[in-house]
Amino acid sequence: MEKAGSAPKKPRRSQEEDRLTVNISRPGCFLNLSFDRSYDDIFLAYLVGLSIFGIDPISVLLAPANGWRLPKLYETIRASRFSIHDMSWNRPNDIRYNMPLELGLAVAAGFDSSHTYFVFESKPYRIQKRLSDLNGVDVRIHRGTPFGVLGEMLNLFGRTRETVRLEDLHTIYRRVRRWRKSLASRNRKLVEPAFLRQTIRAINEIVLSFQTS
Amino acid sequence: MHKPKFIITTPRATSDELAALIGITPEERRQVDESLKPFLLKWRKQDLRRKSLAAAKKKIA
Repeated sequence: MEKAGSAPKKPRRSQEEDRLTVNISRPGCFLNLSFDRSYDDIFLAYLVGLSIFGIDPISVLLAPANGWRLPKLYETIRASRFSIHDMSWNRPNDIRYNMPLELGLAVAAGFDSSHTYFVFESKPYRIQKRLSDLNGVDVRIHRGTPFGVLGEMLNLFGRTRETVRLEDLHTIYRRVRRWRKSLASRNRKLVEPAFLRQTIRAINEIVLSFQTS
Repeated sequence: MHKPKFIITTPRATSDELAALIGITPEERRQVDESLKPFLLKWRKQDLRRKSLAAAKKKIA
């Protein structure tokens, strides 16, 4: 007989069940940022940060060229556990509406699913001026630097019982950059899907090989 | 005192799962692995050196 007040023993899960649970529970993060060349380092920092926290990057660049219409985009965002929206693009002569539109889709996805969206900016209070409907949403300020991005990602995803050190994030980011500089094709842009795929693979390997003190 | 450790906090993708997710081809994968090889060896040595230094410092303290 069970003692009063004690929880019934849970049946032991098989290895196969554990494996399936791991696969299902691994989160993905949709990345919404400018694909301009000047954002390459920032883009790289987002990819490094996601890899460190075991989150799969999801980008329109990785999707097949056909079939990317709004419903599909919405479904992709909705199916991702998280999305990151970098709203720091600021060129009066080159206005882009894709980022705010995708942020709107993420906000809508959050209403009827467990989707969580995060907004990043480079300057404090600017987004509140431009998009006052976002008031009340915590905006992460990265000050236009990759290390700023990594710091904010640590604040977002590092709130678990284990501690990830910021200096380790910096070391891994520097290693990824060193690997990239060594390539004959170092001038390729991250927005080229083939190069993006290779970079994600390299980041994953560098993170896995990293050993802390 | 609890020393912070670098631990991946969420289940991470295996290389094969990640490859399936991002759609990398075997050839692209081989190229990346080749270009990474010399670096990984060097960095492993650096990490080990840093680890032993940290352990020595801890002993002295």
